[in-house]
Parts: sequence; C-alpha cells; structure tokens
Amino acid sequence: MQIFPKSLNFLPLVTALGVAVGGGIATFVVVYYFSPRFLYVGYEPEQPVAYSHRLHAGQLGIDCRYCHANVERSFEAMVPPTQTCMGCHAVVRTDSARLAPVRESWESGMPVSWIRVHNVPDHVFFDHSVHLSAGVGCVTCHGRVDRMEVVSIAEPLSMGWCLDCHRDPEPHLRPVSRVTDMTWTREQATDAERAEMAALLARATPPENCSGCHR
Amino acid sequence: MRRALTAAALALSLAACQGQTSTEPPIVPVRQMHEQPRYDAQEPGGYFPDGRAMRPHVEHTVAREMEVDLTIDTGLEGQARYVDTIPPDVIDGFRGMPALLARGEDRYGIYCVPCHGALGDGAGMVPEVSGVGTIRPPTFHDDRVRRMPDGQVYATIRNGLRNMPAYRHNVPVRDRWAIVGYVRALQLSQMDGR
Repeated sequence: MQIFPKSLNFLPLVTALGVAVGGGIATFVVVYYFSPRFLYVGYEPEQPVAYSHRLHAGQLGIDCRYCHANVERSFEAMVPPTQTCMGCHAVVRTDSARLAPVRESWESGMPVSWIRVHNVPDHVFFDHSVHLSAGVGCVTCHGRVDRMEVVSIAEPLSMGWCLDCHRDPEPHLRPVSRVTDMTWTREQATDAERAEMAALLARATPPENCSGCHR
Repeated sequence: MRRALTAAALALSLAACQGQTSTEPPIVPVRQMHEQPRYDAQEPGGYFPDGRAMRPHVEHTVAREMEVDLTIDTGLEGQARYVDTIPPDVIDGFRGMPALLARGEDRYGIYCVPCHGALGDGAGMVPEVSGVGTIRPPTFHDDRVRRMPDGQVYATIRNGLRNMPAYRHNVPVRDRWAIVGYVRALQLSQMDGR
C-alpha cells in the first residue's frame, strides 16, 4: 500500500535543496555576523572628553608613551591620569570648553570616566610590555591611531587573530625603537634594523599553548 | 517560497557589513568567564568614594618601587645643594655611560622633544602649534643651563619649573637621570669647538 501519493515525489529533492541553501545561509550568518570582525571592529564609544589622537599623536607627533607611560613596564597601557593632561593644559588651551571635564577632574580629584575601548575578556591575560620588548608595534593591534579623531577598534582582537601572529610572528616584528612609530614599514628598514629584527625573531617564543594567555 | 527568499536576501543586504563603526558596546555571543568577579586595572569600583578600584598613591607612604636613595630620588645632596654629576650608582645600574646615554636619547625623544625640540633649542612642535608664544621653552645652549649642576637638571624634570610640568609620575627615577645625561650630550654637541 502506498502512503504517499506520486504527486509528493518532489518533496525529498526540495527538502535537500532547502537544507543545503538554508544551511549555507545559516553558516554564512554565523561566520560573518557572529565573528569579532563584525562585533568588535569599529566600536568607538563617545568619550566624556572629545580627545583627538589625530591631533596629539598625528599632528603634534607626541609619542604614544608620553601619555601611556606604563606600557613598557606593565600588562596595561592604561589611560593617563588627569595629571598628564593638565601637565600641558594648565598652560595650553586653558579656556577650551572641550577640556572642561578634565579641569573639573583636576580640581575635584575625581577621575575622568573614560570608556575603555580595547577590552579583551577577563580570561585573557594580555601583556603590553612583553609585546613591545619583543618588537610588536602599537599599530599592529590598534591600527592607525594617529589618524583617529575618535578611537575605534581596528582589529578583531580574537583568539584566531592572535594565533595568526603567534604562529608566524615574522611579518609583524619591527625594531624595538620603532614600536610606537605608526608610519614605519618593513620595506624601509635599514640594514641595522633588519639585523635587529632577525635577532628579535630568533629569540621570539610566542606561546601557542592555552596557558600562554589563559589562566 | 519566492517571497521568503526575497525577504531573506533583502534582510541580508540591509544588515551592516563588517567593520562598520558603532558607539554601542560590542555584543559578546559567548559570555562564559568574560566578566570575572575581580577588578581590572582602572576599572571603576564601588568601595571608595572616588569610584576608583585602583588606589592612588597615599602621601607619606613608601611604595615598593619607590627610590630609597634620597640623592638619587631628589638630585639634592643634603638639604639644599644639587649634586654636580649623575650619581655613580645610576650609571652602574645602566652598566656604563653609553647605555645610559642611549636610554636617555630614547626617553628624551618621548618626553622632551614635543616642547624642547630634538636639538634642545626650544623649537618643539607643541609650543609652535598651540600658538601660545609664551610657552616656548628656553634653549639648553646658553651658559645658564650649561653651568647648571646635573642635580638641578634632574630636579627640574622631577618637579617641573614654571610652565613645565613635573615628570615624576610618568618618568621613572633612573630614566630621568638618563635624560639628564643626554641633555649634557646635546649641549656638548652644540658647543661649536669651544
């Protein structure tokens, strides 16, 4: 006895097609939209002070470490204390409205509530100082901050992205004296710099095991 | 069927592309242990009235990383006399003068060049662009600064002077001495044979 009439013979084919197309779309949606490249990159919160990296780091050419002074000594680059801002702005642009929250913080002793932009999960222990002394530059992970009016996440900061470099660090290394140089490229390296990079590569031991970054 | 497909295609084409900017915090699809019950550096905390979890330095206390040698820390010998030269302990710490000068050059480039300029003549980018003519710093290449004891140059970096801010909160003690060494080298380099 036949349960299904002959007119339903198209069903298996349509089902198979539906699964293939639907599965394809679902895979695409997850891979494309659930990835840090979509979710993280481009996050640029509005900060309490309209601080411009393009002006300070780009136009004035102030080194990253002038403000992020701890970056070579600690895990964290850290947002500078109000004291660093006021070092110059006690004299420069003292009546600027944009700087009002900074002056307020200076007088009251309360911190400016900057919003953290680059934030890895709490189970990731990223050490800035180690990367700088190994010859990984700021621009490699943070992008061209010297061109950013508002700081924006430039790279996905995902585990796969970290591992890409940990497995093959060579193209991402630079001389230690160039770590904060946003415009430096490997093509313009001098012979001495090439030698330094080779030495850095020889002693580089980027961990690929879990406990390298997760504790 | 066709309507559903069109709707799906439309929805996909309307959704944003990768790399678009947003002021909204990132969505974290997998949240396990993403936020753990501890304070990260500079994270706000609810315990202290100023809202900081990380505590600022308490006055009249000694932090572990603080310099204990008062001459090295202040540049002063006794109460009021500046030391004439960089303390030998500091030079030994760098394993010699060449390393100290190299470090000093590097640090000078970060903290001093913006105002004092690469040559130490006061032609830095910041006084120029900020348009405030009065903040142009004096040149290092006159007899007044040349005759200054090393300790006084050091103390200026540490405590600031007139428009110059104090650098003790962002330049560590030994780096300040390295900068003093490099300033001396700069002065020698501009002495044209005298």
